[in-house]
Formats: sequence, structure tokens, C-alpha cells
Amino acid sequence: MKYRTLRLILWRLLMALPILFGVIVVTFVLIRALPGDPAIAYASGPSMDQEDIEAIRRAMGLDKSVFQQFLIYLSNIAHLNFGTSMITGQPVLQDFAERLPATIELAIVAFAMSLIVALPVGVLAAVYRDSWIDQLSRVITSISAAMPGFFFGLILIFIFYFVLSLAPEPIGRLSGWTIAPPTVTGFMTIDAALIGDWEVVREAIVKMLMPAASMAIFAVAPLMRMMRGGMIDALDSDYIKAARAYGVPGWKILLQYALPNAMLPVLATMGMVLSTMLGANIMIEKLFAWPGIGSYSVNALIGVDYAPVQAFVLIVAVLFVLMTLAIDILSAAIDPRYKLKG
Amino acid sequence: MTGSLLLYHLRRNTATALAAVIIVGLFLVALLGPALVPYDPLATEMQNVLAPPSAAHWFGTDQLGRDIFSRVIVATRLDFAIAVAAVAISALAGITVGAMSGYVGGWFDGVMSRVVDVMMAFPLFVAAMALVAVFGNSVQSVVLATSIINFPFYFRLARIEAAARREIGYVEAAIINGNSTGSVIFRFLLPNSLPPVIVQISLNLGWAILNTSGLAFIGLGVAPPTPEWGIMIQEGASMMMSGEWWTVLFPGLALVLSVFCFSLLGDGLRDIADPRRRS
Repeated sequence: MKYRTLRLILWRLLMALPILFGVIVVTFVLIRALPGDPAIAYASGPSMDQEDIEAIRRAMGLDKSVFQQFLIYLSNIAHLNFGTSMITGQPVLQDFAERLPATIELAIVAFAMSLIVALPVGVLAAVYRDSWIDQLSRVITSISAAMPGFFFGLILIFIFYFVLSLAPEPIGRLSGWTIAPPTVTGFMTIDAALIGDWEVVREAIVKMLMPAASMAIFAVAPLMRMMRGGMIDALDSDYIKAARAYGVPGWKILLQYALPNAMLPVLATMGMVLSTMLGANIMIEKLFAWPGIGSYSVNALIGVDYAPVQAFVLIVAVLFVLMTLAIDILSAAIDPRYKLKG
Repeated sequence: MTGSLLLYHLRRNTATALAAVIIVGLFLVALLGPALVPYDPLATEMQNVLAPPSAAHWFGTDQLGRDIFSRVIVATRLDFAIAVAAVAISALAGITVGAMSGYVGGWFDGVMSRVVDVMMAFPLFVAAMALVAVFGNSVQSVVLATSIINFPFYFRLARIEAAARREIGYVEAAIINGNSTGSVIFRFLLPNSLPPVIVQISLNLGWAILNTSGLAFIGLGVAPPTPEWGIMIQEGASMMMSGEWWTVLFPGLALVLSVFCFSLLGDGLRDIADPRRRS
């Protein structure tokens, strides 16, 4: 990589720092702004009197100035200390570590599904413009843009679970009477494969299909739109015309010349989609009782247990920023014309 | 753009025109809703629970024997009111601050742009969820949260428009003529930035409705027994597994229809406002 590109990347990294700092400030303000006194909420035992509450307040650092509290918050984050959940009684970090693999596993399957549907149809719609497949891509895009994932998921449940009895019960990662494999990676499919239990691998995959499809539905519209648009731009450009004039075979023009150039705008959308799937899948996790970080956090929110909520918002936002950064840098590495933002 | 030209475009683009007509119809339903429905949307009828659609109950009844047709119709007003209020607030605030930021520039622009960058770092739905928790679990909180998460879109739009137009002849002429900064922004810059803003508003109304029902679906914002599409879908979720499809299908279709029409209208208006970006 050239010196100039490297400098641009460093500059871009530097520009992300104030945003990350802003995110930390916002989550700090968030927990201060939440209704209720955390010390009183924490000390919700019958034997607690005013003195105990004061002691807890001191222990939580609530008697110090806001600035000092912020420094404590910073140091806690640096030590990956996100506090303790009142509902589970465990450190939030541990709760997250237990649930994150379930979220990631589902997000990967959903992401793959949305790509498998969106990209080929997007390419074909651009190549055969105004044909039936282009019309089909319009219909799919419109449906995907207006269809809430939780409604789509319920339609799937009705058709495949109730009417056709093809799908397993839409609750959790495995059925109640299946013995889960010992946790190694936390990914149900990999853990089951590690002990050679292919029956459980199959079950875990089948259990993921409906929630993943519900999660994938929203992503199809932006991905397909970008793929189609990028491909049309690429096919209309001069180098493609030149390649055609030289008599390069059509499939080669498509796959070797047009597609890589058309992928650049799609890449940015892919980053947005993947980080949304990792963080904003709360409704789907709740609908399918999926034991991931989304359903954990919303249950914490409803149960007025704020430490997990704060950690969730922080982690998801940081993930969002880093993903944008990674896509930006990747785009610059692929395409020399690409200008880094910032 | 004059009215007759808009009509010309709408006539040429049937899908957009149809979406516009349906949206007008939905607004009428929102206005007249409670007067139109055959039943009280909150009245329960315990000897007639989970009845499938029939002549008496067009969309069937729910787990408490409430008439789903009446509930779907009455819910339109709440969902539309929340969306319209939220989008109005975010559009007004975003456009004003954004235009100032783009026109004035300097440290004000620097600070506001960084603030908006930080706001955009949060996934929309997660931000909405956290804000509703901060403001308290109520309808007003949903309006406020939705307007805050949509603010950056209007800010950026107005900022770019204002910054780009600052150097254009007619704005310079207005400045030389002695117009105050406020007058330049509101009388000369903003009216010319309107087309992209109108597109954004149409798209945002759809998102706002989705957002409201999504929040209600996970138990935030609007609370039962208020008729609201997200709540109805949530309450019907377990019935879907036992086959009472009408509890979910009708509120879901109402939701999809509204969002679909707003996004169709937005796309159509974008083609009219900016023919170069036609999709």
C-alpha cells in the first residue's frame, strides 16, 4: 500500500476518535438521565435503611462530582467493567459474552440470506433492464422496504409452522428436549459439530431459518437497489464499451470488468446492513425468543435494569463506528479513486 | 414547482399518484376513524373471543373478543399523529439548524456537524429505544425520540443545500440588497431547498410509523389496551402459532400499506424533484 493511502487511513482513524468519545459521553449522560435513583433501585431489599443506601451511593461513586463520575466511567470502560445486571445478578460483560455468539450466529446467516437474494437479482435486473426480472426486483425491493421484520416473521411462522408443519417450534435455538452440546465457541452449529452430533447441527440450522429470514427482509431493498444501480453505472461506462468493441466475451465483461466496479457502493451498504443486524435485531430476537444480546437488553430495559442497556447502546454504537471505518478503509484499498471521508 | 406541473407529473406516474390517493384516504380514516367504526375498539365480548372474520366482525375478534376491524381503523389516527408530529418537529428543527450551519459556517457549523456525526453513530432503532427509556414510557416520548433520531437527515440536507447555494448569484444579490442573515436563510435559501426536503418528509413518515409500531411491539411507548398496530401484532403473535391469523394479518397489512405508500410517494417525488437520480 502506498504511503499516501496509509496516511489517509491514519487520518481517518484519527477522525473516528472524537465520534467514539462523543458516543461514550452520550451513554454516560444516558444513564444519568434515566428516571429513578440507581442506588435506591440497587438497594431494593426490605432491610435496607437510609444508611445502607448512602453506603451504596458512595460505593457506586454517586456522591462525587459529575466530572469525577465521568472519569470513573471512562476507567470502567477501559477495564471492560460495565457493571452488574440486577436481573441476572451477573456482571454485564459476562451476560454479553454468553449471549453474543447467538446474536452473531443468527446475524451471519441472515446476512448471507440477504446477499444470496439481493445480489444476483440486482445484477440480473441491471443486465436485463426493464425485463420481467427487473420488474421482479422492483416488487421485491418495494415489499422489503415496507415490511417490518416482525410481521414477516409472523407470516412465516403461520405458513411454515402452523399450516405446513415444516418448521420447528419458533422458540429459541434448540427444541426443549434436545441436549445442547457443551459450550466451546457459543455457536450452536460449531459446538455441535465439534462433538460430531450432526443431528443437532441440522436442528440448529433449521431453527435459524425463520428468524434469519425475518431479519434479512429489511436488508434486501438497500442491497438490491445498490447492486442494480452500481451495475447499471458500470455497464454504461466507457471501459465496458471499449471491452465490447474489442470483442471480449459477454460473461467476461460482466464478471471481470463490471462486477468488481459495481461492488464498491454495495460494500458500504453491506457494512450498514451487517452492523444493523448485529445491533438492531431486537424485535426479531424477542419474537423468536432468541437468547441474544438484543432480547437480553430489551428485557433489561423493561425491567428497569439500566446497566445492560447502557452497555448495549455503547457496544452497538462503537461497533457501528468501527464497521463504517472498516468499510471506508476497505473501499479506499480496493479503489484508488475513492476518497476517504473526514 | 407549480400545482399544474405537479399534477402533470402525477398523471404520468400512476404508481406515485395511486400512493398519493391512498395516503389521502388514510389521512381521512385517521381523521374520521372513531366515527366510522361499528364497535367500540375497547369493548370486550368474552363469549365471542378469537372469532374468525365474518359479516358481523369483518376482521374477526381478538383474544378478548374486541372487534379487530374497529381497532385497526381507530389505530390509524394514533400512528399517523405520532408520525406527523415527530416528522414535523425534526424537519423544522433540522432544517433551521442545518441551514444556519451551512450558511454561517465557522465554529457553529463545526460543532453542530460533530454533534450530528455522533447522533448518526447510533443505529436508529437502538437510539429510539434508549431515548424512550430516558424520557419515560409514553406516547410523547415516542414522538420526541422519533424526532431526535430523524433530526440528522434534515440537518445534513439543509446544510448541504445552504452551503452550496451561498455562493450562487441570487443569494449574493439578496445579501448585497441588505437582507439580514435570517431573512436570507428563510426567504431565499429554504424555499429553494424544499423539493429534497419534501421527499425526505414522505420517506420519514413511513419510517416513523414503522418505528412507532416496532417500539410498541417490544413493549415501549404506546401501552395496551390502546389500539395500535404494533401492539395488536404483538398481542396476536402467539395466536399465529395456533392458527388465528386474523389477529396479526389485518393490523400488519395496515402497517405495510401505510409504509409502502409513503415510501412509494417519496420515491416518485424524488424522480420529479431530481430527474437525474431516477431509480
